[in-house]
Amino acid sequence: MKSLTKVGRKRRVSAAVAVAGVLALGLAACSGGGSSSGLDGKTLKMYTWIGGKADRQQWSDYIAGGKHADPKMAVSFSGPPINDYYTKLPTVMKSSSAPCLVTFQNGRVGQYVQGLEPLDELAKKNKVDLKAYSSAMLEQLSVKGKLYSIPFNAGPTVVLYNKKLFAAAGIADPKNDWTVDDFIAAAKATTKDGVYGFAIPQGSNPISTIMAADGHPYADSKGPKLDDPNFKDALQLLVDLSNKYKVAKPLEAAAGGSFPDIDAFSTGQAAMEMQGLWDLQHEQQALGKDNVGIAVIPSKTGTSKGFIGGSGFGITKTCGDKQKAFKAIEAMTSKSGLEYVTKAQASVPARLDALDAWSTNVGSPAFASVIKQMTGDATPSPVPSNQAQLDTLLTQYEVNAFSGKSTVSEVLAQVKAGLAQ
Amino acid sequence: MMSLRRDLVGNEVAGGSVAPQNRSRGRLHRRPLGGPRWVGWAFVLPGLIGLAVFIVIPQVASLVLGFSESTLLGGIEFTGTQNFVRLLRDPQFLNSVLVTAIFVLVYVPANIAISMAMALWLKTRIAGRNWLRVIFLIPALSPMVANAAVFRLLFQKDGAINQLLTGIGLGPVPWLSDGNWALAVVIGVSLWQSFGYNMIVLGAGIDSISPDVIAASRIDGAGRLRRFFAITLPLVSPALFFTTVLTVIGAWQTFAQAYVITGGGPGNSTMTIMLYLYQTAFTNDQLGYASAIATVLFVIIAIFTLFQLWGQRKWVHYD
Amino acid sequence: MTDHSLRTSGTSWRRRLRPVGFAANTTVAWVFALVFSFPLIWTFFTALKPANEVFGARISFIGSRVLWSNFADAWTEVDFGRLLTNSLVIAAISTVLTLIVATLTAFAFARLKFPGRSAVFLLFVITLTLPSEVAVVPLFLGFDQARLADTWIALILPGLFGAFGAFLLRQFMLQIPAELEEAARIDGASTWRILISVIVPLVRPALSVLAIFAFLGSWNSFLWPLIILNSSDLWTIPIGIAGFTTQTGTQWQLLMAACVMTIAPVVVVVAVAQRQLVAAIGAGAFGGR
Repeated sequence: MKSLTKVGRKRRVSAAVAVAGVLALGLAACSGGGSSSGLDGKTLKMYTWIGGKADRQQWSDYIAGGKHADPKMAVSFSGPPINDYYTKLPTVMKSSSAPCLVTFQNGRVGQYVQGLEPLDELAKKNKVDLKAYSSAMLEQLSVKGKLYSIPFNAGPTVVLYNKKLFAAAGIADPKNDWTVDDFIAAAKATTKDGVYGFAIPQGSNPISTIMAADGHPYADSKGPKLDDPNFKDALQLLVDLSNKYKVAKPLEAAAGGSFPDIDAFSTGQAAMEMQGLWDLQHEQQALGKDNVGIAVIPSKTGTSKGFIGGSGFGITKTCGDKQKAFKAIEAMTSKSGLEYVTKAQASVPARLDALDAWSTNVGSPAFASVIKQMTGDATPSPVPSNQAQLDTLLTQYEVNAFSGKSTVSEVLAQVKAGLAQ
Repeated sequence: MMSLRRDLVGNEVAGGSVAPQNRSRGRLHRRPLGGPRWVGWAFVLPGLIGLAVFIVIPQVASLVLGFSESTLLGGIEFTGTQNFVRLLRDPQFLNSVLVTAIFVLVYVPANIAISMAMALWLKTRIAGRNWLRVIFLIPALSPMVANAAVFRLLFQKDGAINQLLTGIGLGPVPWLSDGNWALAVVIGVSLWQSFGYNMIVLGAGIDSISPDVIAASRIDGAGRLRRFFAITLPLVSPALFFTTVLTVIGAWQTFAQAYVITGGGPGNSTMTIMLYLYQTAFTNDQLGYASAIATVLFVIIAIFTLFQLWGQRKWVHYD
Repeated sequence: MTDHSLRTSGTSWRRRLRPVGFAANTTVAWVFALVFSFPLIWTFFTALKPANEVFGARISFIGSRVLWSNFADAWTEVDFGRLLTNSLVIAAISTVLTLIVATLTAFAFARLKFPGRSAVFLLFVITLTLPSEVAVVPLFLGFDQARLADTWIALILPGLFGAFGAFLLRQFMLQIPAELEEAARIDGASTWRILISVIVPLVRPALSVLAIFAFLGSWNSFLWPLIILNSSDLWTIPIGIAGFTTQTGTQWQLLMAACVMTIAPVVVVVAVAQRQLVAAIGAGAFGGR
């Protein structure tokens, strides 16, 4: 019949078109990308955290520094906001568009070791002297004795303070031997007119920092030391700052990975904050270059030890040209590379021999002495493999300690229970 | 393009009788359209394949994965019912079920009630009625993430809401420091965002009630309230049913609000099932366990939906 | 039935009060609308503030300076132009493809008999009640295995096949009198031709509804893009908004500006097309009637 064959032919035609279409789409999706995994032609792909312009600028600066040291280096970067970076990292490392280079903060390498290439052999092969980097930092970026990431910036956690607010309150700048009591007094003096003396950070960083100041590591090979009385004391101090001394805003529920303390400090709502040195540049931009001072972390005795953190570059196991990737890392973390970066970025270089350039371009003698103390005399501490989980759980549950609903011990018990899951 | 001719032949066929004039087939029984029987397959195949590949198979795979332990970087290792046993004893998970259940049981009736009330209200004489509809619809049409970010700022301890409340003497409220208040915020934001949409749907349902019926009920002397319960409500029940089912299904899957505003805190008072699933899968890297959670969530939703479908027979009035 | 006609008692005072009632009703409604819109209004004003006035003890609507530049800054901060383009293109493609798939499927259910139709239909009914976001993990793994993670395809495909669209259209198609098709069939039209020339034009309201659903579903979708996308090239607006939280805190005034830029197009579309929208959503949204 006429209609039958017409339909039949039409159907066969449309079916063929459909199949071809799907194939075309499939091919289009699969094609593209470099000949080698993790590379775009000759350019190495780097996956890292990118939020806004400041983040993009930072990576551009480091790549520029690397190019300055080795003009043959070619690196491109892409990535999600910092909130999602660590959750997406395993996905990305496994996917077809896996990069060659990845970045890590403060020793968060532990969870991703399966997808990373150990760097000790490559370092030996390329005759890179690892002693140029702070050994405490290298330890943070190692797992079971193998190094997985080479640091580019040092981020000892320091106290940043607003000089104008300090002057207005009539108190002197903090000294390198100030104690916790001095710190509380300074906070009290600057808490007025709707401004708080201190902005409390979320998560485990402030706790590990306060513990490290007195020489107590916050974790060991078995994980975070939640039963350690120093851990409890550190969290209690934070709660007291808000509830007892009333020098800080209590922490509220917030999406993980947000920084209400940085928001408060950079808008002049708090006189002090406790953050990694990498926040210095941003604060200088927000508050004025000469308005931001840094101080060592207050300790109980006055001799503060640093808590070393630092961000580093790593190489993925799936990288098609690991030697090339290592050369890129070498360039970006070389003395000349990092010195070049200090012209644009205020973050402290991870190499001790680049510190002078940093002092010249960015800091001041006062800064340099703080840095030396924090990096020179640091409390080494392994980073637990469940660091991300620890931060998430702490951020969630510590709010209850601030609202008075739970005691600090109860909060830590709940975090412990959550980690055991 | 071919033109249609509504000729005599066509009109006579309207009675649905045997159509000896139907040239394409000699069959006696009336079929919707002529043509070979597998033509239907040709048309349904794209949708069916897509449904199978992107909806059915993942659901089945999720079920299967629930019986394994797998990580993003590692492989898959089958462990039997271990995950499900663990779920039953996992206080975090049980809590998330409780939190989500409270959310559903508060949010859905409130949503329906508000939508219905607003739908009725916007049928009365108000100047600029259509513009009001626009205003209430806007949050429903914008991304939840944007709305949530706004509310997160508003409900800070020293945020605008508390400032207003303090100004009129109702004092600051610990919106985001207290577990119960935080859940209230999540529910409130969800309501704010979504009642506009249901309001339109129910409004249309009301509109489709024949005006004769309304007029007749007025003549019968029925008061406003009585009219609503005896006439309007039953006649709008199909729309109401549809809306409620969808709202319930959506409510059980709440994610964005909790993720953006509270991150599950304080404590785990706003940790919904989907948020716990996301954390388990992507922060804790336990894909097998997360799939088990997904399966349980699916069962919960299925139970609720079946219950509603069963109840439909009793409560929904079709004419 | 006795003829009560109109209630005569109280008619006169009620009639006199009607304009008052109308005014009161209108006022209350608009006050409520104002309260309801407060978050959006506040968002707009916050977007214009300088950074250090977003928080703090003295919150006001208008800051010490009005910074229209915040919009420009927000635009460049997260490359909003790209986000907008991505969202628009993806939503448009999703909408068109959804319409096509749903039309074909609905037509098969409504008008074509084929062996196994009831079974397939039942399958569709069942999936209608399936929670959509639950199976993200295997969906993600599947795309990853197929090396399609982080592509437009992965972003668009899963959302095209929901049974809802097929149902909606089927409902409308069932209402088309059979004799129209019979007539066309007699004229020698093929099944395909009937679909295109007869059925589709007649279900236009339902197609509009579905188009709106599909577009909004794609525009607002958050969880799936969050999971499947890695690189910032393909980000849609909801993900991009999250990008305002950087490792150095959140620039809230810029985030608010971005929210304004995200919600404003929605406002414009709704305002312009409100009559169609309302009619479309209502007309087809609830199946049974």
